[in-house]
Amino acid sequence: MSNETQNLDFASIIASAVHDMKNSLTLLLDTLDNAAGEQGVSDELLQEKLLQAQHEGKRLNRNLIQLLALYRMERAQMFVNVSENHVAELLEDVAMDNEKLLRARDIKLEIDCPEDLIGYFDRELVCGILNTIINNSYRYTHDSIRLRGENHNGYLGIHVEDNGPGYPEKMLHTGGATDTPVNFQTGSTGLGLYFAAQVAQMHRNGERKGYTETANNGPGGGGRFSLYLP
Amino acid sequence: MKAPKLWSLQGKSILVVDDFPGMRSMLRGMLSAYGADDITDTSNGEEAIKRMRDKSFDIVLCDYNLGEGKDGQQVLEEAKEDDLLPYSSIFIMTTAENSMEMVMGAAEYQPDDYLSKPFTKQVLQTRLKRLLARKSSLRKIASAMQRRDYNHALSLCEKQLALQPGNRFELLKLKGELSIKAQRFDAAAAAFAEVMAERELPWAKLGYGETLYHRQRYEEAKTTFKELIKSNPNYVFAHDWLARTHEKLDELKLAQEVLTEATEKSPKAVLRQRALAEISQKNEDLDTAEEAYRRVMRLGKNSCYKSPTDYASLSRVYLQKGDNLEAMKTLASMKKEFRSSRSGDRLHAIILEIMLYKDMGRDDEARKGISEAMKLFRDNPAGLNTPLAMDLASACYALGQKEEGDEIVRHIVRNNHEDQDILDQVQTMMEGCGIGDSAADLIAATRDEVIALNNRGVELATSGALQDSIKLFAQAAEGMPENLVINLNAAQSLIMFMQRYGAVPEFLEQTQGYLLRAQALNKPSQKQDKLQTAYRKLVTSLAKGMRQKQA
Repeated sequence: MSNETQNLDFASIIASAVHDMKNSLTLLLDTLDNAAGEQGVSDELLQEKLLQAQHEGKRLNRNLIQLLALYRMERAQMFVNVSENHVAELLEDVAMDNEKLLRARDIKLEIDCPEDLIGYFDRELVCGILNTIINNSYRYTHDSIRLRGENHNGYLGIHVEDNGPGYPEKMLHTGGATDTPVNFQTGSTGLGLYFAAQVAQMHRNGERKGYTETANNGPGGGGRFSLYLP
Repeated sequence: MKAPKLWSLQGKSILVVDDFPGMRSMLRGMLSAYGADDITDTSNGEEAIKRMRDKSFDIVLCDYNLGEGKDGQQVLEEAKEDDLLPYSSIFIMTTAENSMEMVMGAAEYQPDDYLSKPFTKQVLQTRLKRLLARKSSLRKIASAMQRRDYNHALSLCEKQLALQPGNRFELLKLKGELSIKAQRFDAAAAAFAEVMAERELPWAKLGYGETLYHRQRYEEAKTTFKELIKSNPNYVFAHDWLARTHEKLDELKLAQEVLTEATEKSPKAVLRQRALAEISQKNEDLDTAEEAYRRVMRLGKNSCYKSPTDYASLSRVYLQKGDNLEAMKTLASMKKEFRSSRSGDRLHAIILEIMLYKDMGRDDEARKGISEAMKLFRDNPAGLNTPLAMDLASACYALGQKEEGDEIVRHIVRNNHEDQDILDQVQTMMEGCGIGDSAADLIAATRDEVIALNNRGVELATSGALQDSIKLFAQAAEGMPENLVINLNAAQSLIMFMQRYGAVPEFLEQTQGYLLRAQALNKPSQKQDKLQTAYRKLVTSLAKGMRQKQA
């Protein structure tokens, strides 16, 4: 009993700490955004540094979300908040969020998705997953990333494809609702994939469950991450 | 990033609510960058509600976590409840947490969108752009809903659906909800079933279950809600409806179980805690009732759901437990809590107090309460609604204060002179108090007065003395806020005047006031529908006239 009380307290401590950190991050990112957009800041090196700082800020935020969510999952307090979403709009949002950084590295970002594709999922969580995966592709791709949405045998399929060297052997897995092999030695990418698989599985429709896949059949043998939602 | 030339927030009234000053100025900056020139900001929920009462906003950006006082959800609830947020305006909840409690506490009302921190200017812009576009496609339906003209809103909905739009599910949901409001349950069921045929979305199944409940198909409703809970264990609305269904089937123990489970999952929703308190009081599970009422009071403190009834019920629970001291204490805190409320709430609190004192045998205190209540009533008769008036009158008679009792009975009859059910209730109540002999005369005399007054007004109107008729009905309606005939005739005389001499804004506003009152009484009639349509035509004619003048 006393143990439970302690846990509850810890949960609310985490929640309120995250709340505070997120407010700080919001201001930090906005300040960086405005600084980068200010007239007269033409120094390319400075621009590059500001971008890098923004990028790190976003990463910090994603990790925070993931940690809190995984903590909740472990305590069975995590629930997906499924709503109806326009997939093309979602992909545009995600693309816009990453556009500057990718442009700075001359990485092309394409979207390929039917306008009227509708999906049922937790928008925040799915955005988080896509941002993490794009961040990974950004580091490994040659010069392009493609976001693709499609109807895949009654599932909503969302793919992040790049033309880099592809995922290392040990990070490849094909879907199904079974447990996903995770290797935390691969650092944040491993955590990100683990998180993605967990979130996918929490999406259900009738008997069907969501799942993820990684493969190396992107354009020119590059990596492809796929999220399938029922 | 480039701000697009064509899209701008210029002229949109925007309210920003956040307890963190840095966040408020950041949001101001973001919005100004897109041309916003009418931004109000405030740091807390109470202030936000005040601002919304002063002025109607097109866009509200409200943080969920506002420190002390109301949270973002409570702001949303109160705004919706008090009609401060038309369907056409946008409410976005900004949050730094993705927390379950927040989403689940979201009781009857959902914001148009959640925006989780951190977000950038661009994200804010994209969301606002989409929401504004979506709302503008529903503009006409929204304004019909604002007038509570559900029949018209529904026919507009049908028209849009016929075009096979991209937001078909949203429209079907609206159609279902509106049909329930208009008590057209078969149409509502059809709308929800159409969605379910394609995808079993929780809200569609819940809506369908609701229509079963309303059509008194309780066993089927029970199965539907149970299935829904099985596949979505955290969908608390399904628990609420299952509990209501159990109650209808006289399965009070089961209803309590379901509500206990739901309140554990979503501890912040006041209405759900109140439902649990009431059902456990019925089950004579006094400990549970006590705890639940205490939670209702704590959670409801800053909300629009605060009501003296909860205090009085808790006081009753203590009486049932034999703890008179706690009962008195609860009464005292009720008095303190509602001392400076609206006169209706104060009157409500005093009447509950009188009844409790009477049941405790403390007649002197009860009599003191009666003279207080009568004073409040005479200052503002509109503050006393029929069920409360019934309680007050019966307390007066029970304590031998016949004169006051009669005064209240006249008020009841004046407000319900055509409602035989209520007149019968008055008769029974007076018989119960041993003064049945004088009841029939009192009721008949008062009734005749109202009929005579009404006839005079109608004669004035038909003889063309419309201004006199308007004056007569306006005055009458003031003292009889719940009288359907009087309110409808007040609306009609105004409408006849405007049909003859042209629509004017202040008369339209008055007309709407009377129609809303009639609407709230929930006794639909052909006359009401006709007046509603006539009113709508006048509104359109005024709008057209204004456009012509501008051109």
